Amino acid sequence: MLFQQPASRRTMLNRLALGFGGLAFNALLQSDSIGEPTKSAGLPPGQPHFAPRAKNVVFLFMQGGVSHVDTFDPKPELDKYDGREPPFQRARVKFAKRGNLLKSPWKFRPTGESGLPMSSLWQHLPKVADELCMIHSVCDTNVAHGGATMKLFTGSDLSVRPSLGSWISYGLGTENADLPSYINICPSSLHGGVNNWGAAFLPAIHQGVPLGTPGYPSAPVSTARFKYMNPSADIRLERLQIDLMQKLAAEQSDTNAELNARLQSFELAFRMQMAAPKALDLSSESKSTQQLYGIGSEPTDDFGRQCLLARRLVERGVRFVQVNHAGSLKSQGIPTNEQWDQHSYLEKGHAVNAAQVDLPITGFLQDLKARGLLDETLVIWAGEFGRTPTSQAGGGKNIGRDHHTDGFTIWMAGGGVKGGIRYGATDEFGYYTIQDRMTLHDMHATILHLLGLDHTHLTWHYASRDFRLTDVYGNVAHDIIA
Amino acid sequence: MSDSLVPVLHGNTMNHHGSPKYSLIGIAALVLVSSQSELAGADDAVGLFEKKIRPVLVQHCFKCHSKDTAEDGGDVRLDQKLTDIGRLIVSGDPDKSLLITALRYRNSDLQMPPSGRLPLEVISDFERWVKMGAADPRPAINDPDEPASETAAASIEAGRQFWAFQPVRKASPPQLNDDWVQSPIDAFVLRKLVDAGLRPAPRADRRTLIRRASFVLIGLPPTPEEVEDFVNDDRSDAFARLVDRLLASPSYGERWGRHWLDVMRYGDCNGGDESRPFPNAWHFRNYVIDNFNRDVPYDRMIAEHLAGDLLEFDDDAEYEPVVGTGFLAIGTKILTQLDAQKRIADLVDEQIDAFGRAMLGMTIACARCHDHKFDPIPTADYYALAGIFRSTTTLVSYGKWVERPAHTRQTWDAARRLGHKLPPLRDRLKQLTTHIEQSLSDAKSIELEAETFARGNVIVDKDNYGKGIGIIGDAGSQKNFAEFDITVPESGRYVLQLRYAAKTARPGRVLLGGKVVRDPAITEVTGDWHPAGQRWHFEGVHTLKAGVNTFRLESEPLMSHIDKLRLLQVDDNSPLEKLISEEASLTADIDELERSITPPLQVMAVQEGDIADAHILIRGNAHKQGDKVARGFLRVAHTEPQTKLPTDQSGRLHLAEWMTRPDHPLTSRVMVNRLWRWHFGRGIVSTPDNFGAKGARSTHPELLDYLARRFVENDWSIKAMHREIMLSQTWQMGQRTGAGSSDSHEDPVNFDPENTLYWQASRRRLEAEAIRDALLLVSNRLDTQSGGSPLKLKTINLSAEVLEQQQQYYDNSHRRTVYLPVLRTNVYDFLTLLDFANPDLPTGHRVTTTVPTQAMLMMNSPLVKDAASRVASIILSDPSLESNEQRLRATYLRLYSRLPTSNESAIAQQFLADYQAALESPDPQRSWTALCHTLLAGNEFVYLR
Repeated sequence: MLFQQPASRRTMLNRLALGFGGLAFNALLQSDSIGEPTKSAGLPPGQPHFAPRAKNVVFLFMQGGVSHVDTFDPKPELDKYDGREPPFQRARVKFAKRGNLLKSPWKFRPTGESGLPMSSLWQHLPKVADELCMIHSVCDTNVAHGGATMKLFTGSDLSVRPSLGSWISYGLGTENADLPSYINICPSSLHGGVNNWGAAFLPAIHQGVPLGTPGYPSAPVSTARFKYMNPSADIRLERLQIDLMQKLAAEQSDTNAELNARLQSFELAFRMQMAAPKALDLSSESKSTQQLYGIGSEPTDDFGRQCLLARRLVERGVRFVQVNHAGSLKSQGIPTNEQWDQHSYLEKGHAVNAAQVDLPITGFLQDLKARGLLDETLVIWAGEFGRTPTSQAGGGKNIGRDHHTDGFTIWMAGGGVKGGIRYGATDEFGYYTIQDRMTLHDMHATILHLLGLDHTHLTWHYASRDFRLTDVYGNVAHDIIA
Repeated sequence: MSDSLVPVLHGNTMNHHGSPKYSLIGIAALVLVSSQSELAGADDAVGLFEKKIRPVLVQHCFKCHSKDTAEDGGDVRLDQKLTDIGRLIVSGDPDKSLLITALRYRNSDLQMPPSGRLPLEVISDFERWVKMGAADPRPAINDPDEPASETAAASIEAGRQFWAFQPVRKASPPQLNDDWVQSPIDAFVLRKLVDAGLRPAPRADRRTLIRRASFVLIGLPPTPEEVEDFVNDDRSDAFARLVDRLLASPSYGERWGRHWLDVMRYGDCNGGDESRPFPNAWHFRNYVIDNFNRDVPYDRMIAEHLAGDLLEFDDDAEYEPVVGTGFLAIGTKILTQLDAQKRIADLVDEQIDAFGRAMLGMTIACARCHDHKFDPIPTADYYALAGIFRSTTTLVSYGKWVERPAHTRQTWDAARRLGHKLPPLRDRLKQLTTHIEQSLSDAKSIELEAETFARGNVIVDKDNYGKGIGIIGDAGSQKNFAEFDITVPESGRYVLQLRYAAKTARPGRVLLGGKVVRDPAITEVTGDWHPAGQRWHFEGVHTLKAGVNTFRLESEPLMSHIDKLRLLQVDDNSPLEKLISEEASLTADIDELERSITPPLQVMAVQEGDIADAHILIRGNAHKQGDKVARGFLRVAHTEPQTKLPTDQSGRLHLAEWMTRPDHPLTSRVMVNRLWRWHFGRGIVSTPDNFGAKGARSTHPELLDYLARRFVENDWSIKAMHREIMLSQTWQMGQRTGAGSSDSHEDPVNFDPENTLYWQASRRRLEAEAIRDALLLVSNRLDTQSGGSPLKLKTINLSAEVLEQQQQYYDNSHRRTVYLPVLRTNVYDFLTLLDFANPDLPTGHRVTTTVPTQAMLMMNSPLVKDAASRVASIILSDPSLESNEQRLRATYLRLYSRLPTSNESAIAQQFLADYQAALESPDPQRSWTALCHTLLAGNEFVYLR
């Protein structure tokens, strides 16, 4: 006899009752699927704490830090006091020598029925203005890209912690067992890299699965694939192998739960391998849908494809999808490594960037709405920080703005947030948040709340204590919830 | 009235900048229109307070700044008379009053209330009120602070009652009259089994035993020959011999060193926010492997981790002990933390956390912000330790860590044997050159600026060195050169001098007419790159012809900053003749000697820093200092009063001495529990990194104490502990037939499913490294070369291309897994998918997960596929195997250390037939590859039993 430790599902339940960490958890993950191979795989749908407003999240990450005073948070005082010294106490920590107040090169106008102000950088987005919930009061993040990106996605710039998407995957599970529950499309390897979508101490199944090789710059989405999936595998031959594995295991008459779960996992992998290529195939989308996202024309093709993939994945029940606007502008003659990071060439750089995402994002929101997906999908648009209302890099055409962490703008749409509103405010110059502060912990608490999760109760016991995404902080911004 | 708002918007530093004055009155006036009229009737200050100030305080401030809540509000109370204590209110001067600064929201460190800025007219009211004298009719109250220290001391005394802080007991094994008991371990285990009405499972068979022992001790499966040898060894001590053979193998250190590297949270790059490579971390890895192979006593090992830089080089050690302090240096840091105070506080926190978990099994870092919630570790103890680590230097500056030279035995011996010969030779050379140069002070000289070179690829810098100074230097990493065509009036011998500055050594060479005439040259370090560091240096005596002579300076990859060249003619009849020839031979001697002394390694390490006790940081905030605490250790873990640490040492040496005391309640317990965990898959305390209140309790407390004492008695020898454990019947147990098949309470599966009593051997999956190394071994590809660094990562620019290359490197490398670099932000996915330890945090217990992505990995990873195809080739090309039956037997022996049953053989042969039939044309290599692939992916290959 080879395997001599029979253990039944009842044994497994005993183990669960004893709560033996990861083993029990993963036994649980697998338990639904034993004997019911078509119903559920890797993750069972979890249970929200209360009625959710959103089922899925799409996070549109604008790497480098978008200037809030040039996009969504108009500050007429900057026009008035352009070139003057700013009336602020010197920051204790700053990234570079700070110049004087700098007015925005763009004009603002009210958009939509709600009248949300947007600068002329946005030509298409006004069409969906009434879906957007502008949050002008995000603050309290790290001043450098690495720390700020980690804070945005994990809540911590001190140590490596599970990411937002991982917590959500852990809290809610997945609705499609044939696909990962958290997919990160073409992520950047810079500034924390995998830490920004990692599961840290949560079970590895909750980590973001990159579509395409994470890199800098990241791979073009048109060639991106899931690693270790072989879409060209001969299904008949692979089936023979999996059957052989099952037959040899049966020979051992071994009922050990962990070993059985492992056998079952091969069955699931086999099915995932068949499902993924279909999810990624954009050619099945109509011409008009592709055009809606700007696919097939520049400069919108790549980001448009990312957004359309995000819709297809959300449609298939993927819980958390991240879309990344995270590349270099060097080929455009702009010395920027991180997409929106215009320490110089603000006018040129932000124009290039906005042009790449404006149409795809607009089309994405319109498409979600038309398909009835917007109500249950929370879309978040954010960079890791804003940009200073003061200038950097001399004068003239190559003037730019520095990182700004004391008050900047992100927006959300769909998924139970109020559309066409402005929440929070910065002062007359767009410098400090003066109303309805939203720290990243508050933002995380609010996102979890919209998904039906209480951030104070979504915990994981590790290293002798219960960890939360929001550590010991976080207040839900109830005012933005519809 | 309206000018009261100007300072609000200017902030109190505005007027120091000397910028053109401008006014924001315009904005203020707009907002203020309404408040003007309201204020008309509130002229007297108390009236103003009652009407405009008190209600605001009540509504916006008391939540955190009143009697019951002041702890949340940093002990600032606003529910009593506001005074100038701490400049809260400076009567008559709003700009100096911190309360006003906070309300204005112009200073990033001080903004109140936290929910947002109050309306400008409210702020204006406060300013006016302060200006008018800040009348406050409320009484001043002062609550005496409760002495917190007494309660802390009391809780420490109580805390000592917790089992982990109790002295290690002298536990004698229970006296049991039972043949099964072969060692004290067995007696402790059997006592509990018998009490539960159980018997241990029978001993595992020999094939199982050698496979288990091999994987556990060296991380590799046995070869079929080793299996047969052991099965046929009928000597009574066959198993003990097997254990000794495995312990003596260099592969042992590669296996157990890796376990320890889990605890050391080893990584080859920073991870964290910016993942800079640690190009010298690998010396620490090799040092750890070497320590295990040499069985360096555990007390010595941790002393070197904490204070190796302060210890002597042991005669029988391979590495200088400073290498051990890599433990403190290799942690994940947030490198772009620009806030220097926070940077040091966070760095020290990471060190305390790693030290506490790794060596004490304590989560000390919880006490950074508040007294530990569960364990008797007050914040003061945290800062007592923090003082030790803050008095130690790990980072030299923003983003730059300490690296120090460290000898290996070989370089040390050479340096000692030959090193003493160098200084006198160098002194003599210095004398000679000085003498020559002085004698030539009147000689005819030719001097030229370095930037006048005729040909070259160096850069010229005339801008950054002061007026009129130009230098040449390297243009980046390359083979830098500059050629000078120098015309001399008459032939003869000339001394060459170069004037240059070099903060670090960038040696190069001098060529004359295309021939190397001085190598090395330009070797000196002058202390600075800038003109302050420029000096003339002697670069040899050269014979020149009349007319043009071409000198060429070369230096790679970088070059010193060279300012000028000078040639001094030596008179043919000069008495210097002898000196000049002596100079030449001396230079050659020194060069030869230096070449025979291998330079020491550069290793990541720490060094003594500015020695000082640390302040408590209130709530862990690097900018809020509380009381100073004397440096020291955890009070709960020792009973004698601590002596004060010397003011000229960090205290790490004392910390190491304290940790390695034989009577330390935690050091030995924590380590023997780790060793037990790595033998059995589960610790006696199942949370090896946490022996605190929130950790698990010991399943066999007497056994744990017995082992802890044995460990210390055996001079902290880890190899002795392996023998102690593995020669027990407990470790050699097999599995129990029929367990779990009934609902009966008698069935141990039903009341001890986790096998905490050891009624059989537990199944456990191999670690990622063991799986990969086994795949390489069974396909005859494992490269057993030890040491070295197989990959030098030069860039943090992890482009898709670099990552792809790296992935290919990982996939194509045949070295043992322990030698693959651990790039924290990009750990080889074969490892992470199979539950590799998190390299950011000490890990004593890797959790095993079972997820479909692992199955996908086993199905599609090139590593597994290649292994399958190679095993198939090996089997098919073996002429001694004449039938599929024989080939199957050989395959099973190679992969599973056993023969197939007849049923298994039949199933496999049927598979081969079916697979052949499904192929377009018969291809035995393909069908055998598919068979081997399935066997390698199967449970038996990756699970220990």
